[in-house]
Amino acid sequence: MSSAISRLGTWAASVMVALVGCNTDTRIEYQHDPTGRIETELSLTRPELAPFRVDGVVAAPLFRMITPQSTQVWIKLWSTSSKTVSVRSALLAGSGAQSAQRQSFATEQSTLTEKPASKGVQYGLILLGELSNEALASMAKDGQAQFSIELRVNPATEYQPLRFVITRHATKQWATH
Amino acid sequence: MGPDLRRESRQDKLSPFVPPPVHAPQPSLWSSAPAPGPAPAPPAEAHQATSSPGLLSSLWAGAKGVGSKVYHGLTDWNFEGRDAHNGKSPTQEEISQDPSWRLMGPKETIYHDNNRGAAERKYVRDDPGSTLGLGGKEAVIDGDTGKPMEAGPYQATYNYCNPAKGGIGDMSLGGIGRNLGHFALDVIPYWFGGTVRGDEGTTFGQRMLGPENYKKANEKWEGAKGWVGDKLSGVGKGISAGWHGLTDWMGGKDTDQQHDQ
Repeated sequence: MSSAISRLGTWAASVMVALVGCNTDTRIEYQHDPTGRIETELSLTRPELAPFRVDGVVAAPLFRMITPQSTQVWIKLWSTSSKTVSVRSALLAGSGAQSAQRQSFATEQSTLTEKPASKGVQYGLILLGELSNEALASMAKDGQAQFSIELRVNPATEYQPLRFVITRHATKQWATH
Repeated sequence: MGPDLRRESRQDKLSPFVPPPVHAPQPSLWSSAPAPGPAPAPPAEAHQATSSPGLLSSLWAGAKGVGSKVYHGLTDWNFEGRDAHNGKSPTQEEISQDPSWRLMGPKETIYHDNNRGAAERKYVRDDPGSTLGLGGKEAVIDGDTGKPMEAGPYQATYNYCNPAKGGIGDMSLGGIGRNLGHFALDVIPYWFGGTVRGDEGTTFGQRMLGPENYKKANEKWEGAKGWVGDKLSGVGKGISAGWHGLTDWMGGKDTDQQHDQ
């Protein structure tokens, strides 16, 4: 009898804990909102993408947490046909009071936008580097960070500077299985 | 299973002078026929009673076998089906080279964390080839070894419906649909059946809360029980003391009355 009551009590406590949301988590993500939507919409013609387009290629920075300690910085390059794209002088900096904090990814890298997505859109990826989550959180303490790159689409053309405002997003996530 | 021949031969030797036998306990439907005891020999009725459960046991075993096969067939999608959809577990190196894998937070990973050593890392990515593109593949990396957890109760499991990227706060139609779909198709089946077939290592409560939260809930319940027990004991002592005081007072009154008389 007491065992049954004990079990019932544990159940009640379990349900209480579940109800108050013990199995939820707050996920922090850093995104560039205008280009972040390309992933789902797969449209490169939206007017807000114009500042991030060079010769038909739209550049989208991608901050991907790879472990609880570090985040990878990628550039995802979207186009409607295969193009050779080069990126150099990438720089991530804090904004406002955190502007002194900087992390550079200076190495020049190239890729071909040949991977098919959908709706006639193709993409290529460049991994710029990695930084600690602590450093990234510190840079975006005010909710934003500045990211800049130089990009060219054809080896014969000049590099073009591009600037992005990276925004910090917190979302409530539930335990998944 | 089946009739006991030794008992039959012994039964032939029964005579009207043999004292009535002590009735043996009746076996249940789930138990097989008992081994014959040395003495006394059972009568014909007892034989009927013991041979009949043997038949029932056979029938029951057959029914259980059929039931097991039906259950296996009905739950195939939840165990073997998920494994087949998820495919070979990627290594940490492979995940690092593919940004479509998204790292889940610690509390999102509780159902895949063995709570030993460093926390496990769970990654999810969309599966565009799934039905309506809703599905998603998973990868779980052991926090201690850095290798994929490919088997056992904490292994990666395919999602028939990946949750919304925006989390539970995503109130768009698609977001609500994805979260409800994930809950119905991936979370609830886990609560009832576990991660792998025959996952008896965990209870429903542990699966629902995650082993660590379940332990904490249990501790809180034990604490609450102790607190209530102490309070009730205190109240009981108070009532008892009050009652004794009352009876003493009543006794004193009776004595006074006797003295007056």
